[in-house]
Amino acid sequence: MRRSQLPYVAAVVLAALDVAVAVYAAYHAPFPLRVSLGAPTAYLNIYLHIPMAWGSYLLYTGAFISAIIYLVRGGEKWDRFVQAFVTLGTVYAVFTLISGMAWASESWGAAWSWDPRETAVLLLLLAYLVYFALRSSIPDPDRAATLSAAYAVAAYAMVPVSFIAPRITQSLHPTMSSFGEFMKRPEVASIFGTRVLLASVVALLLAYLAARRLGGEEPPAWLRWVGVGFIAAGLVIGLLLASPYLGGKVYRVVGASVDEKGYIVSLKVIGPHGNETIRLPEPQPSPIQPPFYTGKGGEKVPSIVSELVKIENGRVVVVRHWSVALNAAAYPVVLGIVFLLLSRRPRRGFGEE
Amino acid sequence: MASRKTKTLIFALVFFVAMLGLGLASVKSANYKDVSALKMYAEPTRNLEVKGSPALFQPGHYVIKIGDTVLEFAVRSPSPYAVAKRVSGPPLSNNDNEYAVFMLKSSSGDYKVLAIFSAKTFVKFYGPNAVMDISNVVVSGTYRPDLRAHIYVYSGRGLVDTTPGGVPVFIVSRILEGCHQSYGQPSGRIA
Repeated sequence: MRRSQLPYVAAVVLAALDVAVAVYAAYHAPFPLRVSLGAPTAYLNIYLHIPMAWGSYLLYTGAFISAIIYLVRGGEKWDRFVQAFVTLGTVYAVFTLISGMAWASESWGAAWSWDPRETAVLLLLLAYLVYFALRSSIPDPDRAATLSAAYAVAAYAMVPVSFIAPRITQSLHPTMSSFGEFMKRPEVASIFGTRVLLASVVALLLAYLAARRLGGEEPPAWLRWVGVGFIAAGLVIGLLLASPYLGGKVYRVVGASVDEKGYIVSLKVIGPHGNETIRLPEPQPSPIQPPFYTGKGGEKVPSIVSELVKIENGRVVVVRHWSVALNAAAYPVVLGIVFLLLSRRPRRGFGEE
Repeated sequence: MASRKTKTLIFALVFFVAMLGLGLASVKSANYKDVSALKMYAEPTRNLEVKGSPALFQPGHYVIKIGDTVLEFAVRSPSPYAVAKRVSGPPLSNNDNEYAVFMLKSSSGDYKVLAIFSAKTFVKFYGPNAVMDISNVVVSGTYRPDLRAHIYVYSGRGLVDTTPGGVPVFIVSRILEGCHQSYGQPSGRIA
């Protein structure tokens, strides 16, 4: 293998590892058992949505720094970095917006609420979309590079705005201090930290490879098959996570009768046709661990309450909220599309395709 | 050449500051209106979004009268909301018999509305075990200044009106609840 292919190999391996951690999180990561609204499993999106949001901030920061260096020192290399960081950052920002809307539809009661941070991220995205319009509208490459770099510096203003939005005004988004309490739990911190680290490194590597491609570098031929593989993996992951919705009824648990050992005896549920009580053929261990938590009045509350469940062969199976399936599937699909785009041969030299 | 570069960089930084100001102003203006903003509406108005802090219902047995509709509920420990049963009169929304009720206070505390949400809809979509942020709740729905709610509590002397003159009613269609409280709750995982 040629040395120039090493960054491609590193990107693919780390991306695959990151997808594996994301899928592990969707299946096994901890989530709050009692939530403001909706299914507690929707909070598994903590591990899917937030690392991508921070990834987009990181990429836009890379674009900001590269743009300043380009404006100060010049050099085509830095212009290519600006383009690559802005493009990848925008891909990550679109993912952030869509994954957040899917999560909010359950946990905030509506996909779009004009929440200050939602609004700020939308403005951020629109600001960076203007970058592409501006760049493509200037025929002179030098002038296009200079003006679009200046614009990339200005557009970065929306990053701190969206980051501090929940602090300066009332927002449905949590601030770091309210989220930090959850993050301090070791089992949460290890998975979340790994995801943030891997997603950030993968984002930076992809931007680096995009910049090299813009410089006219021939990508390895195998990269397109990697792209196809990631897309296929995403579809399989989505299918597996969404399979409970494809057949049979999904219920929301509104009450549970549980014995002293934590075994579920019966469930009170809301299904497609209203309230039902489901008595299990025999008591079974709770599919959520721990089986109880302490309620606000000090009472023991079965952890299964509020969850979405399905009954399969007399057993209670927890169904993850559909937003988790969507977002866990979308991440490898997005990576696959990026690898496919990177695998295309550059048609012309610097800055132009 | 150097001066052109400097000019471009200065232009970029000035533009950065301008966008920062615009962004902050946009985010500030995206903030939810306080409940007290409802005072300006004299007629029933749909599709409003307001924020307020729920007043805690203290332990006791309550009766709410809204026109001919009578609701009842009991509270065992201080709670920001309660589920009230309709015992007589016409339903307040659809054909509901149970409502989640919140007394939303303005930020200054001098203006209150009774927020009413179909308990059936609430539980169907959002689950039965919602943990309510007692500092702030954002609701969307219809403001009904034409309806006045009187909240009575049973005491040794019988029913005592806690809301002389009544409070206006807000029929909630969605609760845009923040998730801040969720992160402080116990965590678990799927076995």
